[in-house]
Amino acid sequence: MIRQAVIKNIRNVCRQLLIVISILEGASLIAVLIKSIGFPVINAAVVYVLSVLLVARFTRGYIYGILASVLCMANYNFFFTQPYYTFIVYDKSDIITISVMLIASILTSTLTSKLLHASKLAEDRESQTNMLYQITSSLAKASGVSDVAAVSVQCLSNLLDTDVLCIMSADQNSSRSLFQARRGDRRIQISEVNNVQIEEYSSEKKVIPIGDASNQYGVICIPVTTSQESREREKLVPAIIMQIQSAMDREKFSEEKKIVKIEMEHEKFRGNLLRAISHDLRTPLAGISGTAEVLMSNLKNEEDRDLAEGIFEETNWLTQMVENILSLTKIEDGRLVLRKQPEAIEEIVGEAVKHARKIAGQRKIISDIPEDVLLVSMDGKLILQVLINLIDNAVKHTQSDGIVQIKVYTDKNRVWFSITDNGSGIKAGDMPYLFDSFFVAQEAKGSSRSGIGLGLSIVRAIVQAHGGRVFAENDKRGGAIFRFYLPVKELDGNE
Amino acid sequence: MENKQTVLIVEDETGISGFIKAILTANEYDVLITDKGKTGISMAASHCPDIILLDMGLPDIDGMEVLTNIRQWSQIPIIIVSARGHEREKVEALDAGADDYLTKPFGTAELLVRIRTALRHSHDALQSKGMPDGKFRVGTLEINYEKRMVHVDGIEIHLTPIEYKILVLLSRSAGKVLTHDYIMKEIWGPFEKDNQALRVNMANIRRKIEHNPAQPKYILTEVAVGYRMVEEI
Repeated sequence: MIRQAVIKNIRNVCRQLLIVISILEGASLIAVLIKSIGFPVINAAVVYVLSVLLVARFTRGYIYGILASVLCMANYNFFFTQPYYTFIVYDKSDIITISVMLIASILTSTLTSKLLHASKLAEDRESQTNMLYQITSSLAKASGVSDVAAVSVQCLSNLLDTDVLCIMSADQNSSRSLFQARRGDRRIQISEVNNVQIEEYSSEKKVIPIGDASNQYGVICIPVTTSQESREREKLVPAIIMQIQSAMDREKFSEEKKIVKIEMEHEKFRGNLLRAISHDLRTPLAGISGTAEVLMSNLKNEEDRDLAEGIFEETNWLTQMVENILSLTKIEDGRLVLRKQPEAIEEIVGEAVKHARKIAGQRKIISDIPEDVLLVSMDGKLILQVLINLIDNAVKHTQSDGIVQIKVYTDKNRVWFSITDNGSGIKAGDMPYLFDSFFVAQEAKGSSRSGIGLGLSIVRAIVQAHGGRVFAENDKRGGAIFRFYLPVKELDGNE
Repeated sequence: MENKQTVLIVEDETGISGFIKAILTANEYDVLITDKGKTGISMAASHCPDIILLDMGLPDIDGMEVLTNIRQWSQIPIIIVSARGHEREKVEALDAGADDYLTKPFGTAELLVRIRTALRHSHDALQSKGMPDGKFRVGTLEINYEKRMVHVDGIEIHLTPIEYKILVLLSRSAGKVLTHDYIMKEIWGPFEKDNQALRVNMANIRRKIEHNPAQPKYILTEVAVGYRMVEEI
């Protein structure tokens, strides 16, 4: 390896020296010609300076220019100054000529070399930028993370003129994808590999990861190189890896966005469907319930009246459910408009208790609210709905002789409502999902009156829309406690 | 046979108008039905019913339009029928001249009570104008308009002037719902926007006349709409 490099070097040097010598020879010939014609000898000096310039132009490196300068000066001194064919100079003015010639030629040669060097650097940079641009545009066109990987190995292979591998991180399956681009081959091999094969493939290669700490897409494997040119090219690799990473990020986000969009459209569709159904169910239900009530009073036979009562009760329950669905779709659509007014807590709670007593049967309903008049800004109907839903829940989960307590109290700048019961409490497994839409507690499923699990999610949505929060926990003495608060700016008392 | 009172039902859902007709006929009312608002207006003009049941969700024109149209030339009692959750609509209709409201789904009892109340008030309005005279009694609550005294269970209750005014206003329209805005306008005038004062006064009135202020028997809360004093217990 090193011998080859040395031989290459020597050949290079010889070539350069050849250039130097041939140019100098040429210059000398012209100088002799000038002398023989009879022109002043000084012209020869100028020709030599020009030749040094040419040497600098056609060789690489400062050394040859400087060497040429010295040789030219020697030549001129030897052949063109008296005494001829010696290095001695008689005429003083000749000394000036020679020195100036030397200085001038050294300067021009160094300047020219510098220019050449800078020009070459600029060319190199331009070609690098071009290559990067090529790669970036190819990456921009790729769609999908796998495609990016394929394009990457292709581009890198072209750039580095070698085989390039890309091994992607495992996503769902445990096996990983491998992309391989061979030198000079346009096709890309894609295969599935396991950990053992990965070891094989990446041994004795340089492994560069794509991605950062939070996100590992995969790795690129390139053979280890020693040539100067390849090392130059390799300097571009980190920049390219960054581009690859950006492209993969971009594709990943695009894929995620698509999924979210589809989900959103499903939700919207489902919401629309629910709303249309609910609306169309409402009115006939009102008709059925009213007619059933008429039958309840008109029918002579007691059994028939009981049947009518059955219809009436079932329709009421259905109506309640339909209203719940409609409320929820309004909330989820963001179309729930809060009409806040200062409402007297005792009025809202009073209505809630009235409703509670209607459905409680034998259960005891206790209300505990402050003596003072409490005015809180809220949408009365919605908060009433919240209380009703929580009370319904409590009643559903307590025995027929149970107790449900509704309490209101204030704490700094919050008004707290709590509904407690002494029933079966909340199962630990249900806790995290309690307020989710359509969640129905395990043991209630299957029974006909289990409902469709919207009551609590409506509660949460309304409370949150008011800027409050709702909490559920089990009472140590058995039963459940549901609490929520509404924020108030300041509490108004009696005027 | 005495003259039956006529009810005009303006309702597009036959399921609902059907059972309302059944109830009313069974309770000795004559019933007229139409399913369009425009027809409703013309039937009100041509048949002069004693009371109108007006559904707010009509197909051809808005229920409010029917209401405002009829109110331009008649004080005939109108009860609007509205769906749940449409409180804004109810308040607007009441403020525009409707006498009372029913929320779908409603029951037989509610329907009959509201109709009776609305008819009675319109009858009373035709009979007497000006200051209410005599006494008002419901349950153990007694208001003596002449002497400006209020008793509950025989015990005299001391109310502030504003509280008394509110009580009298509600009792004059006993059985009918009065919106917050209406009460504010009547007591405080048209420029008072904030109905906080009303809430506080109402709470105080309840503490004075109700056995259990949290479960009022005499003055009922119609959430987001207004208040209603009962006619009978």
